[in-house]
Formats: sequence, structure tokens, C-alpha cells
Amino acid sequence: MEKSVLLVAALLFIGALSTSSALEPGESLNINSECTLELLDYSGSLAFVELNCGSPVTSFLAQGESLDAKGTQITFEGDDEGKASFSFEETPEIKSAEEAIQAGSAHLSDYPAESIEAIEADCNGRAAWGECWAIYAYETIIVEGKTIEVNNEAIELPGYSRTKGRIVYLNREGEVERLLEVT
Amino acid sequence: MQRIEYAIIAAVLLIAGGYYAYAELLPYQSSVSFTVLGSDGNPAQAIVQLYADNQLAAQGETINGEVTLEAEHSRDAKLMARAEAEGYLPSRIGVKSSEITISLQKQTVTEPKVDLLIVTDERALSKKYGSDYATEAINLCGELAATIEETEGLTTRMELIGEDYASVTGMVNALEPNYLLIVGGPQIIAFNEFTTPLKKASGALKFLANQDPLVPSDNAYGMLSTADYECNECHPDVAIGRIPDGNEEESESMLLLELLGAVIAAHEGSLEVDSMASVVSQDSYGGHLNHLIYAELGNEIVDSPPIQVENGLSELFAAFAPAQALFLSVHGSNPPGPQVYSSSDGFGEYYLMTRGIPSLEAEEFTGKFVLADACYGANPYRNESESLPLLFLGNGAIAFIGSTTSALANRKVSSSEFDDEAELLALGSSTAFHYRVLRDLHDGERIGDAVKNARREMLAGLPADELTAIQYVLYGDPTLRAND
Repeated sequence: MEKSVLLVAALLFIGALSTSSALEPGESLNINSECTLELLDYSGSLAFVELNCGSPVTSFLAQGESLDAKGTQITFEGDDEGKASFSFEETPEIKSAEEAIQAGSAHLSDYPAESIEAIEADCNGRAAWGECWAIYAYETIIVEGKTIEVNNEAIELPGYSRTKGRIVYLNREGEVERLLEVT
Repeated sequence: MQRIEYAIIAAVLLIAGGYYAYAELLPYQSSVSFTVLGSDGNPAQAIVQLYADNQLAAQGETINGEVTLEAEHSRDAKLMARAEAEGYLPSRIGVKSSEITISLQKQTVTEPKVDLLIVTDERALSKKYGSDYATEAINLCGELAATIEETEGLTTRMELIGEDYASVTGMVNALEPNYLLIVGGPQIIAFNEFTTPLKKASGALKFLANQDPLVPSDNAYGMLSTADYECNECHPDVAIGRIPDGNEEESESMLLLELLGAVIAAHEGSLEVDSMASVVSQDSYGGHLNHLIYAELGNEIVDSPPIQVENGLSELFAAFAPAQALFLSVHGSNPPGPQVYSSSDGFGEYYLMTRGIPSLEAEEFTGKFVLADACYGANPYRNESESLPLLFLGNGAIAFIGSTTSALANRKVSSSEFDDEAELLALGSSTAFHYRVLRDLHDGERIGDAVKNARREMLAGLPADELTAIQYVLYGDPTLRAND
């Protein structure tokens, strides 16, 4: 009996390095030596979290979506008896464009998923080097002109288009090396 | 038998715990030996800084071109080094071994025959505005030259294209001035069009290369034939500024004359850059805007949204009014057509500035330095009535700095803390460019030198940095300075 308790404890300890936890709003968890995850709000299907790996970054995570925390992939698994359940896995080495897109998609969540592409690249954006993956998306936004009224004055606002785009350079471990954005 | 099983379990626990502590908790000590050589092959007396995950970890000065730096950091930290030395362009390099050689590009040695060269084209002025206007503009250029000689103590020469020299490039190479002031927009003296550096980048940047295959720039006018940089068009040795006008082929506007008059008045007065305000598109915000030079200048940040044209711009103008430097971290519309600066929260688009908004057209920007981190923020191919830089300048701004095409910012500032100046400069792209301009302006550098130094922070070989160095233009007199 004692033996099996110890065995379970050992497995749990090892598993704690790559398992799951459920949080209530306001609760936080140390992910590794460098990061803390706090659940700020939770709706059952959407988790609003703050990941702090030196400086806090907030994100909304839908079920199945992941964040990278310095080598640990945090995935929002869904509801666990009213708590938000997260799993933690050591970030696997990225070996394909599909894996790169999966690893980088959280940084491009405001772009249509089908528009996200990935290509091997130098971490600084040079051509033909393969130390990083560049995951990128872009789109042209077209805004129709309109007339508005401010302080009883009619103002003509011209239509315009602008190109938005973002390029995330991830290393093979999935960490962000560089993040460029079209201004 | 039972003891052996306990021992195995204990060993598993110990190994797992030990590995965890080794990988995650114990700091790692790096020792990196740097050799810093000039492009001439000589050892450079340089300051070398070692960064771990963008944080300054160690710093030292080379002796005979060599220094060894030791730093503690997490085992998987990304290491990067920056080196700078008198007479060389600064450089940055990723650190992936314990012995690193950094090569610094030697700055061109020049023998200026004149401090400032003012240049315009009388025939082009006459064609656009008529001969009387051209004469008046040239007289004002002469008055400006005399004023600068008197107030700044700089030797100044005015040249008209087609008189002593056939081209601006010919003048610059003959006179090797420290500063060049071009008078007139693209219809008076054309911008050079460089092939975008993004063309040689990986596929991730191809969409921008396709959108802007050519990059209008004034850098070619500051390139000396003796320059020998890896990217000569990125690092002009002459500090260039331009007093622009609209892109119309013909015009009756008085703007160009008014801007020349304003520059003369600015040299006769005094300028300050001790305060600043920023309008920041919500999706472009970075915590760095509250630190370092931004904190020193008391950066008053206005978020957009909620600020947008529909809600009125009074809060924005209230923040701008006491500020001597304005930073516009917004989005810019693709040319042609009326220029729009907009903002976004990642979901919606919001108008912030465009021509024809009565309150904006009436707003005074007297004595202010304006920096625009916006796509096409200073694109020259717009008519006067469609151009926002010309609005700012026409309403009193001393200088306007912006890009001619789509610009790239480093958004690592949105997810990391930066408490060291060199860390920010090491980010490159427009993020570092604007920082360096503001720092130098506050430190009393002439605006042309501030922009030239910011270009020098851009690393040859990195397409995004090269693009930034080429696409940013200074609208204003490069010899003006604040905090003198």
C-alpha cells in the first residue's frame, strides 16, 4: 500500500512538470521558474488570463487555444466543474510549417486562420536561413468614406485602404525571437 | 526486494527533481570572448554589451579589440551583443558561441568644404509656381543661408541645379557638406526610388515587397562616392532635410514660401524638447512608451480608441498643446488619395486624422517636432490638400519625420519590459529609429544629426532595418536643434 502511494506521488511529481490544473478567477499558478499564469475572468468557454514572464500580457483563450510560456505550452482545455482547466506541456520542437502555424497562431489571432502562413527563416528575417520559423499573416482593410457630424458640423471622412500584417519569428522551441508589425 | 523498489522510486524522484532544478532554477553562467574589428581590419576600441532575453547582462570595453564578458542568465536565454565605437557604425549580433567576432563598419572620412548646402531648382519652381514665386523662394533661401551663418556659425552655401553643378549628387560630392537642405517637394527635386530591401528577405516579408517595390528616399543625395558601407543607401554621410510642398504639377499655394519664412524665424528664436505627447493606436501600444527618454520627456499618452474623430479631438489637442515633441504611433492609409491616420483595437478601425477636419486644420503646432510611426506617414506623392505632414508643417511644426512607404515596428515592446536604452536600440526597425531621434533631440543634437544617427542604428543585412533606414525622411531644416 505504502509502495503504491509513493509510486503515485512519484508519478504525480513527474507529471506536475507536464500535466494540468484547474483555476478559479483570481487564482494563479507558477508555470516554470519564469512565468506565472493568473485567471482573470472565466465564462465557461472563454478564459481571460494574464501570463507574466517578466511583464504581464493578457489574452483571451477559447477551448483548445494555447500560449507559450518560455518553453511551456499552456492550453485551455475547457471547463472542469466550474473551473478553467489548463494543461501544461513542454513546448515540442517545431518541425513543420503546420506545427509552426499552430505554435504562432496565438500571436495572429486577429487574422483569419486560413490566411496564416509559415516559412523557415533566419530569426532576424534574412533570406534562406533556417534557424527560425516566420509565421505571418496580412490583409488589406478597406474602409468606406462617410460623413459624420461633430459639434453640429458635417465632416467628410474619405474612404481609405491600409495593409496590416504581422510576422512572428519563432525559434525551434516555439519562443518568440522577433515580432514585426506593419504600422 | 521491497527496498529495491523504494530505492528505484526515490531515484526517479531525485532525477526528476534534479533535472527540473538544473533546467529551470539554477542560473547559467556564460563567458563570451569578443573580438571587435573595424571594416579596415584594425582592432576597434569599442563598448560591448551582452544581452540575455533583451536585458542587459554585462558590459565592457575592448582592449586591443578584445573583451571577455561574463553573465548569469537562465539556461535557455537568447543572447545578443551590441558594439559601438567612435568613428564606426554601431552593430548587433546574435551570440551562439563563446567566441564572437564583431565587425564594425568604418564611417567615411570627409573633408567638408561647407557646413550646409541649400539646394533647389529654379526652373522647376518657375514651372510649378511661376517665375516671380521662384525668385521669391530663391531670395528666401539666400536669407536663410545668411541667417544660419549668423545664428549657427555654420558656413552655408546655396546652389541652384544647372548653375555650377548639374545635379545634387554632383554638388554633394564636390562640397562634402555636413548638412544638405533640399527646398521643394517631388516636383521640384525628385525623390530617389530604391528597390525595397524586403525583396531579398524571406517569403514572410514578400507581401510588403510586392506592395512597395520601390521606396522613395532622400538618402541618395547624402551618399558620398567614397562611402564604403555594406548598405550605402542606408547610411548617408550627409544629414539631409527637405522643405517639402505638395505633389501638384502646378500650384498657387504660398506654403513653400511660408515654410521657408518659418525656418528663418526658427533660427532666430530658440527651440526646446523637454516634453512630449503621444497618440497611440491601441494595437500598437508598448510599455516602453513610459520608460527611458519617454519618461524623461513626461510622455503624455493618448489612447486611440477611445480618442477618434467621431468623439472629437479636444482631448488629443489638450495633450499636444504643452508638448514640444509629438509621437504619432498610428496606422497610415495607402496612397494615392487623401491621407488618413487611423487607429485600431484589433477589431475595429477608427479615424484619427485626415485633411478637412475643422478642429485639426485650425490646430497650431508651432515649434513642435513631429515623429510619425505610421505607414506612408510622410509619403511625398500627395497633393497639399491631402497631406498630413504638410498640415503639421503649415500649422507651425518645426520638423516632421516619417516614412514614405509601409513601415515595420518591433512589437516585442508590447510583451517585454525595457529598462535600458541600448536594449531598445537593439530592437531595430522603426521602434529603435524613433527612440534614437527623440534621445538625440533632447540631448541637443541638430535634427539632421539625430535622424542620421538613428539610421546608423539600423543594421545592414537585416531587411526590416534597411527598409527603415531608407524610407524615413526628414521634412525640415537639418541644422535646427533644440535645447542648445
